[in-house]
Amino acid sequence: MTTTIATEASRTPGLRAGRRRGPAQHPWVRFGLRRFGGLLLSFAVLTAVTFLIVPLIPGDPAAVAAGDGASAAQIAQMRQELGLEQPLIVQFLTYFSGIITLDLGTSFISGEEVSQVIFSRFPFTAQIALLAIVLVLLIAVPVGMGVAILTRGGRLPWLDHGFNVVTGFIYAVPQYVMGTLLVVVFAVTLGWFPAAGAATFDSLVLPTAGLMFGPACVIARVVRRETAVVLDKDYVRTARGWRLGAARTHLRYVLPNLITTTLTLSGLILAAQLGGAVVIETVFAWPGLGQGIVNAILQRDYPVIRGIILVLGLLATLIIILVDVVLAVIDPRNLGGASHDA
Amino acid sequence: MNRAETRRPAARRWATVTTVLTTATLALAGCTTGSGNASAPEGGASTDTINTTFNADPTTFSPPQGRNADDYMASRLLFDTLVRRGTDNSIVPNLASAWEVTPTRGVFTIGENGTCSDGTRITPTVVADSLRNFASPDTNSNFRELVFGPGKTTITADDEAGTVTIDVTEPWADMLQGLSMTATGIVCPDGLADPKGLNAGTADGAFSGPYALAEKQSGVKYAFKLREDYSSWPQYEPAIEGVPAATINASVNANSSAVANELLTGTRDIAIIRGKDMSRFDGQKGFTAEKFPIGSMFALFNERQGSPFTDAEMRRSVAQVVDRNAFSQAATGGQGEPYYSFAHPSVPCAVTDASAVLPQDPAAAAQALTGEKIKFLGTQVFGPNGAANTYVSEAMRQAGADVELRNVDLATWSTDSQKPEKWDMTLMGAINAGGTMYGALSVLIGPSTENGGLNWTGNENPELKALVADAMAEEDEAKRCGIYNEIQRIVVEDAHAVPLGSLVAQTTAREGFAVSVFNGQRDESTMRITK
Repeated sequence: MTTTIATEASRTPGLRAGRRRGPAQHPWVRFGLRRFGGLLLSFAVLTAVTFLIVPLIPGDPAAVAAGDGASAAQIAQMRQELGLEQPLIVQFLTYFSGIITLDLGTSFISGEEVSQVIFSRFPFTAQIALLAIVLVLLIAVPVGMGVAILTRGGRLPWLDHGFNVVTGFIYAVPQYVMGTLLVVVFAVTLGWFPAAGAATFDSLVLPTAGLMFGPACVIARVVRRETAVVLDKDYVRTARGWRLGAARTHLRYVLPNLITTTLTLSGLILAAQLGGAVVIETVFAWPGLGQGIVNAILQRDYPVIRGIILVLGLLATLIIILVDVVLAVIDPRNLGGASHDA
Repeated sequence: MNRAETRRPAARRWATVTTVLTTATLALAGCTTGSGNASAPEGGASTDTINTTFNADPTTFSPPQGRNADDYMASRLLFDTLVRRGTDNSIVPNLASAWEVTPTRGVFTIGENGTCSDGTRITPTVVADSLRNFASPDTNSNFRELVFGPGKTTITADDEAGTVTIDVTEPWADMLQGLSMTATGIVCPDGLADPKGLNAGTADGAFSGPYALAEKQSGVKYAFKLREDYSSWPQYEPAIEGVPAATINASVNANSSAVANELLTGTRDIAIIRGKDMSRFDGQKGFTAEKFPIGSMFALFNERQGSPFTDAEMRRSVAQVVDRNAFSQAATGGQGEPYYSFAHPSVPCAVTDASAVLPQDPAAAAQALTGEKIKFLGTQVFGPNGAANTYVSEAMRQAGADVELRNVDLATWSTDSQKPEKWDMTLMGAINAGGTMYGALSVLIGPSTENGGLNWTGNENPELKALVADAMAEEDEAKRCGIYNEIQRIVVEDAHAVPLGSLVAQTTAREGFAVSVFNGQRDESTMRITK
C-alpha cells in the first residue's frame, strides 16, 4: 500500500507539492542541508588532514624556533615549551578543542595568535583575488561573447584564429614572468605604479593585473565556445526570426545561458587564487596569505600552516557554496545541484 | 510563451546578483586597501620619514631572545646598550659614559641622560636589573655565554656612585665587546614586569633606545617613532651626519628583487639587498651602496667516532681541493671575498693573510679522499639552490671521494645537523653577531651540542679550549691577539674548520639617506636623513 501511494505521489505533481512536502522537503531546505553537510565534511577532513600532514614536513620546528646558536638542550627545552613532546592524540585534542572555540593557537616563531596573523594578511589576498575575478568577468565575458558573435558561421576567421593565439599565448606565460614584465614596464621604466608592497591604493594595480591575465584568457575562451553553442539553439534562431535587436537577443537570450559555466568556473578560479596567489604575492612583495604560508612552511611554524590551510580550505568550500546559491537564485532548477555539491 | 521568454526572470536575477557582488567586491577592496593611506604615498624622500624593509617579521622584541637579523634590527632601534662598536673596532659610549674593564670585572658609569619610553630615568639599578635578566638561566638567551663567559656572573648597582659592576668568576675578556650586542639591550622596568608584552612589543614603557614601536602589522609593516625625550645617542667618532628620522617605516619584504625595485622607484629609502640584485646598484646614480659580511662560510666536520673526519689528514684534504675564488663564485656570484680564517676580517685579531691556509693540492687530497664515503649535509641558502655545497662536493668527487650530498632547506639543516649520525661534513655560515673571536670559535670547542654545548664537531679540542682560556684572561690586547693567532693557526693546520669566504649583503640608500656600517656590522640606529 505504501508503495502504491508513493508511486501515485511521484506521478502527481499536485500531491508532491502539496500534501507530501513538509518544511524539510522544501527544495531550499534540502539544498541548505546538503551544502551544510558538505561544509561539515570539509571541515572534518581539513582539520584531520592539516593536523596529520604538517608534521610530515622534514625539519624540527623547535630547532628553527630556538634560533641560531641554540644548543641541543635549548632546542629540547623549546620542544617542551611548544608542546611537541606530548603524545599525538593529546596534541590533536588540544588543536581540535582550540578550533571549535575559534582559537587557532599561537605562532611557534613569533608567539602571535594565528588568528591575528591570518586577520592581518587575509584582506590583502582578498583584495587582489576579488578585484581580479571581477575584472576577469567584466572583460572576459564581453570579449568571449563578442568574438563568438562576430565569428558565427565561419565569418572573420582571422579574428577566431587571432583570439585563440593571443589568449593561448597569454595563458601560457607563467605568472612569474608576467609579474616581472609588469614591474619592469609599468613600475621601473614608466614609473606609473609602485613596484612592490601594499602601501597605497595604486599598489593594487599591478598584482591584480598579474593575477587576472591567465583566468581572463580561460574564461574568455570558455565563454566564446559556450556562446557559439547557444547561438545555434532554436530559441535564439526564433528570437532572431522575430527580428528582436541584436543587443536584446544576446543580452536576454544568450548571456543567461552562459552563467552556469562561467560562474562555476569563476568560483573555482577565485578559490584557487585565494590560496594560490603566492607567485604574484612574492613578485610584488604583497603581504597576503600566500606569502604567509610559504614563510610558515620554511619556518616549520605548524600552527600558522594549519590555520592558514584550514581557513583557505573553508573559504574555498564557502565560495563554491556561494556560487551554487547564486546559480540556484538565478535558475531554481539548480537547486537539484547534483553536480555542484560542496 | 516561448522558451526564450521563460529566461527573462532569470536574466533579471542574474543582473541583480552581479550588481550586488560587484559592488560588494569593490567596496571591500576600497575598504581594506593600504591601511587607508591612499592619499599619502609612503615613498619619496620626505623630510622626516625613512622607509626601509625587514626581511621577515621580527620574531621577538625582547633583546635577549633575538634570533635573527630582523630581531637585531628592531632591537637596535628600540633598545640602547651600555656601549657600541664604532669605527676601527673602537668601543664608544652609549648608556655608559665611562668604564673600567678587566677580564674578571667591569665597572660601568651610567650616563645621566638615559630615559625609558615611559619617562623613567635609566639608573644603575635599571641597567643592573636588565643585565641580570639577560644573564639569568631562566631567560635562556643564546648569547649569555658570548657576553659573560661560562662562569657565574654577579651584577650590582650603586645608584649613588652611578655605576654598575659586573663580576665574572671565569675571566672573560670579551665582556666589553659583548655588551655592545643587541641581546644586551637595556630593557626598562615596564618590560621586565611584562615579559609577554616585551616579547610582543606591546610593553610601551620597555624601550630604552631612540625609537618606540608605534605600529605592528604582522607580515606587512612596522612603524617606529622617534622618542622626543631621547638624548643618549652613542658617541660615535666622527659624529654621524644627518638627522634621525621622526618615523621609520619598515615593510616586510623577503624578495631582494622586489626590494631593489622599490629602491629604484623611490618607494624605499634604505634597504639591504642580497644576491645578484646587489649588482643593479653598481654605478647607479643617486644611490650609495656598501657591501658588508653577514656571515663567514667555512667547512665544518663531524669529528666524532665513526666519521671519516676524525682523521686530520681527511679534513686537510678537503681544504686542498677547494679553490676559494671558484667557491665565492658559486656561493655569492663573485660578490663575496675569500676568507683565510673562520672569523671574518673585522673580528679583532682575525687572520687575513692568504698564506695562513693550506695551499690547493688536489693530487695530494686524492690520496686521502679516494674511495671515502662522505655524507655532506648542505643548506640551500649558500648560492642558488645551495650551489656552494654542490661546488665543494664536486671538487671532492674529482679527488675520488664518494660524496652523498643532501642540499636541504634551512629548517631541515638545523634539525639534521643536531643529529651527528646524519652528516660527516657541512658548510657553516656563521653570523657571529658579537663579532668576537670566541663567537666564531664556539662551534669548534667545548662541550658538544648533544652535551648541551655549542660545539658541532663533537671534538672538545682541549688544547684550543685552554688557549681560549688564556686569551680570555689576558689583559694585554696585543698578547691576546697573539694567542688568537695561534688558535687560528691550529684550527687551519688541523683543519677543524676550512675557511672559505664571506656571505655578503649590501646596504643601499637613496640620495639623501644614509646608514653606517661599523666593522662589517650595520647599525640600524644610525639611519639618517642627510638632506
